Amino acid sequence: MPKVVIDGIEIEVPPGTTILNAAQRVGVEIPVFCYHPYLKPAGICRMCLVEVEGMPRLLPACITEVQDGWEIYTNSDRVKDAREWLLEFVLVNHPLECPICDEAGECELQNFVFKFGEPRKRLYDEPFKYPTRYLGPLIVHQMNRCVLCRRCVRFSDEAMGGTDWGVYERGYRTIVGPYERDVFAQKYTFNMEALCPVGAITSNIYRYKTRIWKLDFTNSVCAHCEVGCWLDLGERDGQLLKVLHRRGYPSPWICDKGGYGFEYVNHSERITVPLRREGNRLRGVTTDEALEFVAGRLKGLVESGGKVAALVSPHLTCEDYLLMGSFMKEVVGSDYLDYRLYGGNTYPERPAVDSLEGVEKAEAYLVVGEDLSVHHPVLALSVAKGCKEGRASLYLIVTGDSFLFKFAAEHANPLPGKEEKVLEALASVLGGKDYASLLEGTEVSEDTLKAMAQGLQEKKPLIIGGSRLTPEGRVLLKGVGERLGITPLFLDWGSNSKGAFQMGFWSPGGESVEDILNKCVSGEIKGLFVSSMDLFRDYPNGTLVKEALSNLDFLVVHDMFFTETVAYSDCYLPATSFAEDGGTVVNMFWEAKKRNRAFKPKDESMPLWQVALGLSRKWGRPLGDFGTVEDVTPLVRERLSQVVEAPSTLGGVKAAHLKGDIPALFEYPFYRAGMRTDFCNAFVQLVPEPYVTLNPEYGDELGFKNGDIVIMEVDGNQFRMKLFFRDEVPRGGAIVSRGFSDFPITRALKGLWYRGIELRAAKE
Amino acid sequence: MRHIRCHVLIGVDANSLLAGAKAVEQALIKELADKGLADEVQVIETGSLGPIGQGVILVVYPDAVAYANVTVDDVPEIVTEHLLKGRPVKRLQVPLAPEERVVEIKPTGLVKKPQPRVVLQNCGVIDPESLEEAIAAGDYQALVKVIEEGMSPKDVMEEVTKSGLRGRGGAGFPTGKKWSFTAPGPQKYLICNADEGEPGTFKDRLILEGDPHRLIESMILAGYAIGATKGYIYIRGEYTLSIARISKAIEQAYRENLLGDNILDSGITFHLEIKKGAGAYVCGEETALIESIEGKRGQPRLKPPFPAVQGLWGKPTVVNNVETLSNIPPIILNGADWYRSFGTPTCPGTKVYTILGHIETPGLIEVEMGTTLRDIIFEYGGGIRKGKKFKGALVGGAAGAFLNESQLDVQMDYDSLKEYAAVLGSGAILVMDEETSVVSLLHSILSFFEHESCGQCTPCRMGTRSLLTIMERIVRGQGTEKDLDLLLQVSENMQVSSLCPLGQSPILPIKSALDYFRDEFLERVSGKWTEPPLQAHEEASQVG
Repeated sequence: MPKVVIDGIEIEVPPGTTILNAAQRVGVEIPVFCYHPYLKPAGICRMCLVEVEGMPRLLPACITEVQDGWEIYTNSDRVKDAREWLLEFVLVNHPLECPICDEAGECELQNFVFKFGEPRKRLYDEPFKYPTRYLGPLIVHQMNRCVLCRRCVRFSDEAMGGTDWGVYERGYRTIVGPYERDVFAQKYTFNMEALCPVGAITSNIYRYKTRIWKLDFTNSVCAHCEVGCWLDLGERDGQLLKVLHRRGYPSPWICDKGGYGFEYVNHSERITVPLRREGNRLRGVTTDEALEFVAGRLKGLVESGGKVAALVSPHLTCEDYLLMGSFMKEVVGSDYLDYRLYGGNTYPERPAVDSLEGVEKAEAYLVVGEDLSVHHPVLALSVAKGCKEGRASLYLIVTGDSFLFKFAAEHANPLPGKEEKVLEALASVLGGKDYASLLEGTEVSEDTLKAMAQGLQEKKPLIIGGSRLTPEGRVLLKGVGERLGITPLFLDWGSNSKGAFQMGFWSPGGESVEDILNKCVSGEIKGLFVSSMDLFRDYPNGTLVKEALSNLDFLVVHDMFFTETVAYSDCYLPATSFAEDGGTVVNMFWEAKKRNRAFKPKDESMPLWQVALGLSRKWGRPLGDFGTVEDVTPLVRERLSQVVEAPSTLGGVKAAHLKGDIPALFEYPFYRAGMRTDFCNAFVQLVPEPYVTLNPEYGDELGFKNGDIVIMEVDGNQFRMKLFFRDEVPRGGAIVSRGFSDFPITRALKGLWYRGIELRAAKE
Repeated sequence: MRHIRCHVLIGVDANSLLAGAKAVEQALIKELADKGLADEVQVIETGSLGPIGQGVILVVYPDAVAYANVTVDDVPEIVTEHLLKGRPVKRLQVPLAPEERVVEIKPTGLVKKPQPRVVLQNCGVIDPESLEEAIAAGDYQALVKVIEEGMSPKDVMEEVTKSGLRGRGGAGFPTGKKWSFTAPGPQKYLICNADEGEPGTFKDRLILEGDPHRLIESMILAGYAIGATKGYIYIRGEYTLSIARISKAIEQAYRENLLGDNILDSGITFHLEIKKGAGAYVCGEETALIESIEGKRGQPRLKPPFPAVQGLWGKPTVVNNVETLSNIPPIILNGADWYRSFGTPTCPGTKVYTILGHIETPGLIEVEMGTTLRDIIFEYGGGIRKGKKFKGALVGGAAGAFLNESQLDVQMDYDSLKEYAAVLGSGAILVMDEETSVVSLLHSILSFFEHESCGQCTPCRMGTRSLLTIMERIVRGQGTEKDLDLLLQVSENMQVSSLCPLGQSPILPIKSALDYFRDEFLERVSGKWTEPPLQAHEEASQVG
C-alpha cells in the first residue's frame, strides 16, 4: 500500500486512492467545487490543486491517485496562491447577492472564500447580468451565481442518462441550463438543486421563505414510497419549509416527491379541528366530543348487528396500523380492514435483495409491471446506474415506461393490460414451449422476446415485479424466477405496505377492498372508518365507492383535507402529516426505519394510533397506556419479528374490461403519485389536470394532433381532457393519467387500472 | 491527336480563388482553344505554389517561368507571346532563382531560395485531383515498398522511431514513441488532426490541397504500424477546398483499392473517414478533438487516461498532425538515415512554415530544422517589406512567443527555441516591421484566447477574460504599470492551474512581449499616450 505524507501527516492508503480521499482520511480539508463523492470526477474547477514534492506542476487532488513516497502539501505558498487566484476568478463577475440569496449560509463559495480567499481585490470586471430563469414551480436558475462546476450537468448525464440540461456557449460566456424548455421538472430535479454548491439553482418552493440557519432539521423518512429515503425536515414556526437529503441513505439521490412534495403539510386548506355532521352541515367540535360521538355510533352499530370496516392509507406508520388494527379486531370485533386502497390485490413478500447496493450489483434486470420511476423513483436510478455504465443489461416488460426505457437492452412495451400475457410468453420461451399465440394482440414482437430470453439466460438478472402485477402475474414471475434460479423482488404501492401487512392490517378472510366496498353496498357493513386517503381519487372504481359510501349508516374519515370522501362522512377527524409524528415504517427491503416528529401536531390533529387509542378509551376498553408514539414502538418491534402468513389471493381478480376502441392504462403522472400530492401546489401547477397520451404515430393515424382537446368516453360517461403525444406509449393503446381528487377519473374504472376507452375530438 | 509540349500550372487555393483563379483558368483554356493550342498546351490545377498574397500564380513548364498577379486581361498576352511565340511576358514574370537544389524542386522562381522539399515535394507540382499524377509523382510508393518488401508493422514503427521524427503539431513529441504507447486491443483508431486553428498557420491546408494522396498513403502506413484499421481526418470546417480535394482523393483511393479491405491484396485493411470541425480552436487539442468526433461538446478530457490507452470511443487512439503524417512515406521510402541527413541530430527533417506579416514574400516554405530565423525571414522570405527595419516576430501562432532582433540567429527547432522560452508551435512566423504595435498585437492575441477558451476549467475560462479586460485598459492608455505585472501574474497562475494547453499558453506571448518590448507597454501606461496609429492597429487585428 502506498505511503504518503500529507502536510506532515503520514498515512498509508489503498492503491488507487486519490489525494483528496487520502487527505480526508487524515482530516485535511481541500476545497472543491466540481468534485462530488457520488459523481464521476471532472477535474475542472481546479480548486483542489495541491503541491507534490518534485512535481513541476500543481496537481488536482480530486483525480490524482497517490503514489508511494509522495510528499503532498495542501497549504504551501504555491497552493495558497493558486487558490486565491481561483477564488478571485470565480468572484470577479459574481454578483454580490449573498444578503438575499437562498443559498447563503450553506454556500460552498462563501465558505471557501471565508477560509481560503484573498481579501485583496486585484481584478475588476462587470458582474454577470444573465436573466433569472424561473424554470417552473420547482427550481429557479440564476446563471449569474454559477461557478460552472457542472455538477448539475453531470448528474443529468450520469444518473438520469441525459436530459435537456447542458452546457452551452463557451469560454467566459459559458452557460448551463435547459435548451428547449421553460419548465424543468424531471423527476430528479431536486438533486440538481442539492448538488449546486452555490445559489445558481435554488428551490422555488423555498424561495425567500427564511434563512437556512433559522431552520431546525429533524431526520426522518420520506412518506411517498417504500424506498424510504432519509430526509432532513427543516422546520420553522411549525412550518415545514425545506427538505434536505444530507445523509445519502439509501441512495445519494432522492426524487422530487421526497424533495419538494411536502407542501401539503403547511397547506392553508388543512382542516385541523374535528367536524361532526348535523344535517347538511359539518360543525366544528372538540376532539373529546368527536371521539365520544364516533365511539358511541360505532358501538351502536355493532350492538345492532351491523359490521364495521376500516380502510387505511398505506402511507402511515406501523404504530398506526397496530393500534387501529387492535381497535378494530379486538374492540370492535371487525374482520374487515385493509390498506390496499389503490386497488391492488396482492400482499407483500420477502425480497431477494436487501439493499439498493444489492440492486446496483446485479448484472441484468427484468422489470415487469411498473414504471419504476413513478412509484419507486430512486430504485429506478439504481437500476439505471449499472445500465448506463454498461455493466448491466435491462429488460423491460412495462407498458409506457417513462424513464428506464432509455437504458433498456430490450423493451417489451405491451398494450395496456397485456403485460402478464407477455410475461406468460416469456415463461414459455424459457420453458421451450410455443409462445407465438400468447403474443397476439400485445404489440410485442417475437424477436424482442427471444432476445430478452437469451439475455436473461446469459447473465443472472435481478427480477423486479411491479405493483401493477396481479396475484396471477406474480405466480408467473416467480415461475420465471425459478427457471433462472432467482427470487423476485416484489414491489408494493405506498410507503409502508409492508408494515401494514406485518401489523396484520388486513382481513383474515382474505377480502379485498373491493369485497369490503361491495359489502357496504349490500348493507352487511354499516359503518366505515377511512384514514388518510381519498377513495374517490385512488380507488379504481368511483361508481362503487359512491354507492358504498352513500349506503353506509356511519362514515368517519380521518384526514387532513376536505376530500370528496370527507363530503360523505358523518364525522371528520383531523390527521397529522408525516412530519408531525414519529413512528416505524418498513421499506421495500423489509428494513424497519424510524420517522421522527419535526414539530408538534397542528391544532387538534392526531395521528391514527392516537385516534384508535382515544376511541378505545371512549368505548370503555382502552388498548393500553400509551403517551407518545415511542411507547407503542416496542410492540411494533415485536410484531415485526414475527412471521406473518398471507391469505391466498388467487382467483380474486376480475378480468380487465378492455372492450371499446382503445385499451388504456390509467397511471399516475410522476408528480401526482405518492401521498397527498393534490395539495402540493408546485405539483398541481406542473400537472393541473388529467390528460390522455398516445403514441405520436398512432395519434396521427387516429387523426389527432398533439395538444388537442378530446372526449374520452367510457360506459357513456364523457371526460373532456387534453391529449398529448408521448413516444413511450405503445402503439394502439393509450395512457390516461389518474390521481386527481377534483376530477372523477376513477368513475371510468371497474376495479382495475385498465379500461377500454373511446376517444373523439371535442367539438369547439 | 494530342501532343502536349507545355504545361501551365495554376495554383488554386483559397487565396488565389479569391483573386480570381477560376476565371483566369477558364479564360486561359478558352484562349488556348481559340488559338488552336488546346492539343499542345495543358492547363493543370495544382495546390498552392507556396507564396500567398501575389494573386493568381501560373507556372509554365518546361520553361520554368512563373507569373504572379495574373488577371483575365493578361491571359491573351501570355498565350500569344509566351505559349505561341515562346517569349515570356517579362512584365508579369517572377525573377528566377539559382539552379542548385537539395531535393528536386522545380525551378519556379517563386521561392527566394531553394528549399529541401520533403513534405511539400508534390505540392504545386501535380494536379491534386488526379490520382494518376499523384502516383506518377511518387505517392503510394512507400506503401508498395512496405507490401513488396514485407515490412511488418514493427518495422514501419522502428523506421519512424529511428528517423527521429517529432510531432509537427507543436509539442514536438517523438512520433515513433507516441505510436509505441498505444495499448494493445482489437480495435484502435488513427486520427489525423487537420483542425489547423493556430492563427497565421495554414501549412496543413496547403498540404491537403496540394497533395491529398500523400496524406492518405501516410495514414495507411501509420494505421498499419499501430494496428488501426480505421482512420479519421478531423478537418476544419472552413477548409472547403481541402475537404473537397481530400474527399475526392479518398473516393479515388477506394476505387483503386488503395483504401478499404485487403488493400492491393496485401491483407492490410484501412478505412478512412472525414469529420468536419465546427471552428473551435480548442478542438485542435487531441482529446477535445476526440470528443468532437464522438459528437460531443468539444472540450479537453482529463489525462490520464491518455488517448493511446483510451481515446476515440474508449479505444486506443493515435492523433497525429497532417505534416507529421506526411513525413512518413518519404521516411519509409528513403530510410531513416536519409531523413536524418536533414535538420539537426535531435530534430531531424524539415519543417514547413507559414511566414507572413511585413515580409517581402509571405507564404509557405519548407526548410531544414535548425535553419535560423534570420535565414527564414531574410533569405526565404525576402526580408522586410518596403525596406523597413525588422522589429520582431511572433513564432508559433497565438500560443507562441515573440522574438526580437537579438534572437534572430536562433536555430528554429524544438530544443533551441526552448532556451529562449519560445516554441516552434504550429510553424507560423508573423514578422513585424518597426512600425508595428506589439501592444495592439498582444491585445488581439488575448481577445483570441478569450474567444476560444472552451470554458471548462475555471482558470482558463476566467483568466482569459481577465487578461483581456486588463489588456483593454492598457490598449486604451488607461492602464498602470501594475497592470503589466497583473498580466504576468494571471497568466502565470493560468499556466500552473489550467487543464489543457490552451490556458497554459497565454504566458508565452505575454511574457515575451513584456520582456522584449516592455518600453512600448510602459509608454502606453505612462498616462501620456494618445490615439493608436490606425494602420498598425488594423493590421494587428487581422492576425487574430
